Amino acid sequence: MKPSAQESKSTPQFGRTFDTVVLTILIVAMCSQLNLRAIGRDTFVTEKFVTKQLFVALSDVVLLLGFAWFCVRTTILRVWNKIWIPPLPCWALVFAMLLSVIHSTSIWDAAMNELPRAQGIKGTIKAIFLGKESKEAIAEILQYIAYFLAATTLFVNLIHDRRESETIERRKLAFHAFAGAVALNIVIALIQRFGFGSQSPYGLFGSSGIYSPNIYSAFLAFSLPLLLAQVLSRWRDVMPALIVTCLCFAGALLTMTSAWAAISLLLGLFVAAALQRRMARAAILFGVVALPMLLLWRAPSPLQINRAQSWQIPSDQQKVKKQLVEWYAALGVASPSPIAYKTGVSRTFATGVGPGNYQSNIGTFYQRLPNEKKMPPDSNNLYLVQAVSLGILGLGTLLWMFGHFGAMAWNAFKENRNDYLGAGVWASLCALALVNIFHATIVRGSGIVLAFLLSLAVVAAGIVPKVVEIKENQNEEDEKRDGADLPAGA
Amino acid sequence: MISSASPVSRPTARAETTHRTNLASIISLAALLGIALLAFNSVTQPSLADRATLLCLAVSSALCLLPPLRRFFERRADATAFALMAAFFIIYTLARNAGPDVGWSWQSRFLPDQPMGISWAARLVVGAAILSLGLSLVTRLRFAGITRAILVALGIFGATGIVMFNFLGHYFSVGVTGNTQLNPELLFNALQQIIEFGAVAILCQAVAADAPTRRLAMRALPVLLLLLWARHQFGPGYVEPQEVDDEA
Repeated sequence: MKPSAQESKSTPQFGRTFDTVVLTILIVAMCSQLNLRAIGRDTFVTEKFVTKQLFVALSDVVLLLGFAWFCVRTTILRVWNKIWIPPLPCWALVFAMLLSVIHSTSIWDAAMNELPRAQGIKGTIKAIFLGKESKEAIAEILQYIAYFLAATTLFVNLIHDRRESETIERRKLAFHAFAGAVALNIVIALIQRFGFGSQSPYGLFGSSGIYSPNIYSAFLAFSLPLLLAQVLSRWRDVMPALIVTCLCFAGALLTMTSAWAAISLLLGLFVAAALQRRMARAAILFGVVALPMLLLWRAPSPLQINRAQSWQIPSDQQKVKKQLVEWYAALGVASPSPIAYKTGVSRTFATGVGPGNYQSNIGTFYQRLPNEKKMPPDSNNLYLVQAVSLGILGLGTLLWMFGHFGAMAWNAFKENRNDYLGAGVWASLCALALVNIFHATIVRGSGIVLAFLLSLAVVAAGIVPKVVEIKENQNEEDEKRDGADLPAGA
Repeated sequence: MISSASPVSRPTARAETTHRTNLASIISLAALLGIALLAFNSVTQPSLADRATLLCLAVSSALCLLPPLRRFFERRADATAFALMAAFFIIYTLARNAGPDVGWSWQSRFLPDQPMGISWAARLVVGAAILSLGLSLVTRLRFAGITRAILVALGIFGATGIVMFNFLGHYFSVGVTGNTQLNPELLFNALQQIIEFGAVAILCQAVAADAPTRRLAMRALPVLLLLLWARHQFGPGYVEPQEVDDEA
């Protein structure tokens, strides 16, 4: 039986509406670290030692469901050939992670130690894949696949939806949903700041007894430059947005714990203004909004101790805090491992100790340096975490990926200087590059936001498809003329 | 006058450039083959993880020979550069273990009694990289994509090490003995490997820059990796010289 005309019209309409709903929910949910449940026992409470607990985050669940819906709808429409797929650096990063797992001596050793005790096929599989080291590695790889393959695919194809006969642009919706989610976080943080007392504000970045003021600060540091870029570009045309963004900017500086995140945010503002040649407007924003908040930075408040900790060199127990000592200890990845010490060769420099195995290995690299038991959560250096866990190949591939999307944003900005998106994404990426030195941001809660930013670079580049197409054709002709012996470049 | 001369001079310049790029690529390929030969030595003592990685790389590079992937890698220099780096970073890790025990070394004032040995592999890759760079300076070899990212990554790692060594040196005693806290060995090991792996990255980029050499390298890679794996999996292992004496 053929479907009626009304039915055939309503099905795509429903699909489109549902796409819009999925995109909005995902953007709001991604700006949080709310856990729905924890898998595994909290052994610290009962037996006073810590084991790996897997937290199921709201953002991850929404991403999974959203991606499943996207796959189903794309399959029904039979338009897989029309969708944007992540570029080579994203796939290369996943390959580098897999290589790091296979080349990780610590993961192999752990599996080999378990194997003699394993019974039957089930036991062997359990010994190889469910040991602590392997579990950490698998979890990390899945996380990266979700962020840099699934999330980017979903965002780009839903924001710039080419699956039907006409292209649907949801750029404005995505931007407003993101601005709303950032504002919601700041409002909640302000309530925590003035209502709770001793706890540092963390917005929606905490649940199940784990709070992360540092990730909240880092999230604002690389999210706000995008919103600031929009108001800097238009100013009077978007008066309500200007007021809301100014309030968000002030609220962010009032609730941030990390001084480095605040500096990164100001760097983002500066880059956004410099690119758009709006330095006067940025100076007004800085003078009217940021400066009063920065003058209040050291005023007595529940945040005072944590803010001072983010800035100062010593800790309560040591003359140099663990965060900084670890930056030197991380060089140990290039040192001969105890096994290979006789031959003097490090087997970990190229591919690292294995994804997710940073924490379990970094302690051995300290040698005689003082090693405090604790440091504030989420205060690792992303670059060194990657260098230790994935090796120089993994860190290089990660930078390649950031560089690739950064170049897209830059080209988009160059092609269309009236559009704020390219400049905004670039400003956000600059802030991200700085804040990652002090707070590794590829974690649950901010990882999908990062993927969203990278996707916006693609969306920004898609604003001028004709120009891009012409350039691509020219490049192809050039390559043909040159005998196809040119390097492809970034 | 200049403009009228340029159409004539351009093809000549292009031919020279291509020739130099080609020469740089061939030298780089030869150097990479050299480190692969060093990695065949049993003294490299590959671990189980090394052998498993060689096999996985051999299988994945063989998959790259399937027609759609082969065309992709032949077209994209950055993809080939990444594939070569993934393979040769592992091979180089083995090759730098091939010795010699005595020979060229360098010393730092922080490590007066511990000269840092320079392996055959290091001499080969650094020498070839300098030569290749020299030839490529006048050509269009660009450090883009993965090569630039790897060099930046090495730069970040090295710069962090140097800055933190100088910074922590103000707070902790420096030395390699038990009563000191800050071990300079960490930094110097890292700096040495930064230079060596940077050279390997440059060689891989030089090979990938030239289309015919790129094709040749991608076709030879699975065979090379498979041979290397087979050598260490089934070939005779390393025997300590002392044990040989005992047997004698």
